[in-house]
Amino acid sequence: MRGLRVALLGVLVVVAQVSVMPHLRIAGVAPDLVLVFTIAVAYRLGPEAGALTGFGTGLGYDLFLETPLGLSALSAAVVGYSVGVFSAGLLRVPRGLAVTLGLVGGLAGGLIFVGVGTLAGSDSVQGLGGLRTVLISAGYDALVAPLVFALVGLVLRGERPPDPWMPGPMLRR
Amino acid sequence: MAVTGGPGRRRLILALLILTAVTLIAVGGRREDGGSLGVVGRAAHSVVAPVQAAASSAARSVGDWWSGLTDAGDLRRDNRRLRQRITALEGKVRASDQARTEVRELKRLLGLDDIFEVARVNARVIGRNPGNFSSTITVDRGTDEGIVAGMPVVAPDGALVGRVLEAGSRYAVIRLITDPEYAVGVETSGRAGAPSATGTAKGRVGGADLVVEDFEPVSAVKTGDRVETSPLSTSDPPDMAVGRVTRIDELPGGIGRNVRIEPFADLAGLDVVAVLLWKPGLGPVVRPTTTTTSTTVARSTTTTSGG
Repeated sequence: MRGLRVALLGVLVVVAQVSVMPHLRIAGVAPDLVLVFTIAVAYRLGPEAGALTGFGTGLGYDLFLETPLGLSALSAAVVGYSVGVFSAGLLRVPRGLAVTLGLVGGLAGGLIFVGVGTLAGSDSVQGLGGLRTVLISAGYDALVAPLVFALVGLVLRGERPPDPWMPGPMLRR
Repeated sequence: MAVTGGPGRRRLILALLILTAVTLIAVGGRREDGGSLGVVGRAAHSVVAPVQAAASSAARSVGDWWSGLTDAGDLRRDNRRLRQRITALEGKVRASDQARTEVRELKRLLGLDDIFEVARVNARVIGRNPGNFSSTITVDRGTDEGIVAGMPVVAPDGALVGRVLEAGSRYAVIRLITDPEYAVGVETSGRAGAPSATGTAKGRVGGADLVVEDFEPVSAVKTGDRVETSPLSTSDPPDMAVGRVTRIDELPGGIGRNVRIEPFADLAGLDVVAVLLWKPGLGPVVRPTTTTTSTTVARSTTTTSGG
């Protein structure tokens, strides 16, 4: 049930990313809603759900991009996993966590995207222009993160891990 | 924030996802390749196109309302200035119409192609590049109107906008000329005593202009020169307006120069474009009838011009 809710919200996020976000650019750069959504899910549900959500929504986003297919999926999956591992180790929730995770996650995701894209030979991501875009986009991600975290919190309220997507031994920490 | 599954299993899942993503990147299954992933991409695009159109329309309305609210004084001033400019331009248009007719007549006599004779499909821009790393637009016409990948796209005033990257039945994705993966053969319009220079114009990452790196070192290129598509290139019709030279950076050692070109087309503000029914390497598409539909602006002579 929780998986279905996340999947439906993920589809909506991808649609919003490709149809609404291009109109809300700052300095020619749009926020990466897909990445921020992945971070929010990973924060609440852990590394496994974070990685799967990042991969799924990233791949959906990739279908609309001209950069190599799989690039967004890779960066979002790695960021989702890392944020999940990080949040699992949190003893208390510091103030401004959503903004910080949005900024750091956006930066990490952007750098993975540009780095692997460059290795894959994509002309679109290379050079200083690519890095400038990553920096602005990460700042924008930090701005929208509280909204996305609130939305994900609303959709997943009352839900408790463990993750029903993956049957198997359940360890709770 | 609780975590399920052992760390080993979590790492295995991550490793599998990374492996899948890297394989996809390595295989390079882009939409234009037409593979099974291409089918998924086109289906996703077709589903989202109406949403993009609605969002685009809403954004335009809100943007217009907002600028009307905040720039009322500027708008009145602009209005006055533009009226004066229209009067001046109308005179020029009349003169250029006459010149165009003469050029068309001369080209016909010489048996040369003319881009004014190429059939075109007018299309509304319904989406802009969804990502941050490429420059594309999505328009609301596609293969139903005869649009296929590779066709050149121009602004209403005829300035080059880009090339069709992918077309579905009712949408087409257009790569703009400022995209880093775009390239077009160009030449400067020659002046008396200075022959035209030819080269390849490319977009830049995050840039709003094009760069030519391979103009012949001996050729004379000056700031302000007009740049057009080259007749040497078969990917686009010749003599289409591309832009104007804004900057020339000489490379050290006299090994060449980087020439920046500002596009004539206002790429950020495009609402309507025209797709030229011109296949790269083949020329204009000849249509069986001479009917002009609501979406096709074509003169009766247009459709019969040979390719």
